[in-house]
Amino acid sequence: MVSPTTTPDPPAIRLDGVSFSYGRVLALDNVSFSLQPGELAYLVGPSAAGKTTVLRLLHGQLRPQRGSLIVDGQELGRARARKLRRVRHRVGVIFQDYRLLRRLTAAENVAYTLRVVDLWLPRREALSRANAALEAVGLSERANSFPHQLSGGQQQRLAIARAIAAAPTVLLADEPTASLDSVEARRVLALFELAASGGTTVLVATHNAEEVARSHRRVIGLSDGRVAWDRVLSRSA
Amino acid sequence: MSLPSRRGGRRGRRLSVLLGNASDLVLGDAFRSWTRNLRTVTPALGTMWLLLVLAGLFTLGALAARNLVQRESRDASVVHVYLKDGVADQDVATLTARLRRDPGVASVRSVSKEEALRSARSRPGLPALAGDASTNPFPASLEVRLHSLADAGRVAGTAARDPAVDPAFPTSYDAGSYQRLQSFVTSVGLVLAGLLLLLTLVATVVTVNGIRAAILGRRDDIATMHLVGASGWMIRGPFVFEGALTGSLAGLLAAAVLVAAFAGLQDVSARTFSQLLPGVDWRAAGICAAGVLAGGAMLGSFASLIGVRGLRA
Repeated sequence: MVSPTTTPDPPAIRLDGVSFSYGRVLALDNVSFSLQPGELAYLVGPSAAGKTTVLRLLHGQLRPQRGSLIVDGQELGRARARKLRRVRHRVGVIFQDYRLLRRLTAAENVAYTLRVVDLWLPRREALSRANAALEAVGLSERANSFPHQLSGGQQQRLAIARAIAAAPTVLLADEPTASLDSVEARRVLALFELAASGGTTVLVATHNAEEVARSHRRVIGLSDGRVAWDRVLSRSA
Repeated sequence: MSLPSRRGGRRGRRLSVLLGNASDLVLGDAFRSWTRNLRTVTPALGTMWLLLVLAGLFTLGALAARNLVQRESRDASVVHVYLKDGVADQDVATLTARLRRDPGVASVRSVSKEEALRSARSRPGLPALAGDASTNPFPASLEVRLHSLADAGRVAGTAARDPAVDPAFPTSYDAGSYQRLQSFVTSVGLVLAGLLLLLTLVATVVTVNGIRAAILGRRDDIATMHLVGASGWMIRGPFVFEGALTGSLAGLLAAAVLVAAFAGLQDVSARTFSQLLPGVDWRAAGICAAGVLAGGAMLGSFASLIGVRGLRA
C-alpha cells in the first residue's frame, strides 16, 4: 500500500471521504485515496462498483456530495466553471464512449483540444503535435479520417491520442482497452507507463484482470462504492 | 514509441498566433463544420429562404402601396380657397402673401373664373352645366397646395375668415372626407407595419426553431467541447457564425429570387402599359434585395445565438 505521506510532494489526486449518490442510489461511500505525481494506478471492480463515478468526479463532471477532492492542487468540490476549465486543460481524459468531435478529422480532433488548452499554440505546431500523438497510438495513416470512418478500436486509440497529446499532468482513462485487441492494448498500456515515467499521474479504470495482473502497479479495488482494497501487485503475484 | 513532450522550451507569445487561433476556433471551425454538415442545416436554410422571399416581396408590395397612398394623399392635399365676386386685387394679393407665409403651405396658385370654367368643362358631368349657364357660375380661387394632409383643416379655417373669401362657400375643404382619408392613410401604415412585424416575428421564431433543431443534433459535440475545456465563446462562436453563414446563403438566394421577380414584374408592366409596383424602381428593388441579404445574416446569427443559449453538456 502506498502511503501519501511517504513523499514530501503534495498528491496529484486526493479523494478524502468522498460520497456521491445518483438520486437514492449510493454510488460512492466515503472513498479516500491519493496518487502521487508520476504514479500509475488501476481502479478495478465489478460493474456499478463506482469506477466511472470516481473518474467523472476527478474530471469535474460531477460534484462530490460529501468529502473533498483535489486534482493537480485544485479543490474541485466547489470549483467555479473557469477554475474547472483550467483544471481540465491539465487533465487528459479517455472517455468510455470516446467522445470525439464527429465533424472533425482525427488530426483535427487532437489539434482542437491542443489549441483549446493553449491558445498561443500555432496551428501548424498543433497539427504537428497531433500527428505525433496519432503516430504514438499507431493511427497516423488515418489522420484525415472522420471518426465515423474509424473502427471502434481506432476511435478508442484516437481518444487516447487526444488525451495524451497535451502532455497532461493527470491522465484519467475509463476502460481504455475495452475495444482493443491484446496487441493494441499492450501498446496503449506501454504508453501509460511512458506517460507516468514522464511525471504524468495516471489512473486507469478497468475490469481487465489480465492487464492489471501484468502491470505490477498499484491497484485500488472498489466494491459497492467503497475502497475494498488498495495494494501494489508484486512481480511474483 | 514516444509521447508528445510538455511545452518544449519558451515559445514566443505572439498576439497574431492568439488571434489566429481564436478566429480559427470560431470562424474556421464554423466554416469547416458548416460545409461538412450543410445537409443538417438545409431545413433551416429552406425555411429562412422562404420567409426572406416573402418578406422581400411583401416589402416591395408595401413600398408600392405606400407610394400609391402618398400620391393620393398628395393629390388630396390641395385646398381651393374660393374668392368673393368682385374682390379687389389688393385683397387677393394680401391673402396670397399670408398663405405663402404659412409653414404648412407648399405653394399658392391663382385660378381665374375663366380657368375654373375651362377646368369644369373637362370634368365628367360638368360640361353640360357649364354650357347651359348664361353666366360663368364658377368662382375665382386660390389653389393652395399643402405639405401635409394634416394641415388642411387649419389652413382652410384660417383662409375662410379672410374678407377676400366667399363667406357662403369659402373653401373646398370637407372635414369629413379629409379625416376619412387621413385615417385611411394612418390605418394603411399601421396595417403594413403590423404585418411586417408579424412576418419578422414568425421568421425569427421559425428560424430559431430550425437552427436549434440543427444545434440539438450536435449536442454530443457541444458536450465534448465542454469536457475538453473549451470556453463558452469557443462553443457558441462557431454556431453563431454558422448561423450567419446559413442566413447569408438564404438571404443571397432570396435576394436573387426577389430581383428576378422584380425584373419579371417590370417586364409585364412594360408590355401591358400598367404600373404593377407604382413608384418602385430598380434602386428601391436593389436596396430591398440588400436588406434581405443583410436581414438573412442577422436573422441567422440571432437565431443561432438564441438557439445555443443554455445548451449545456
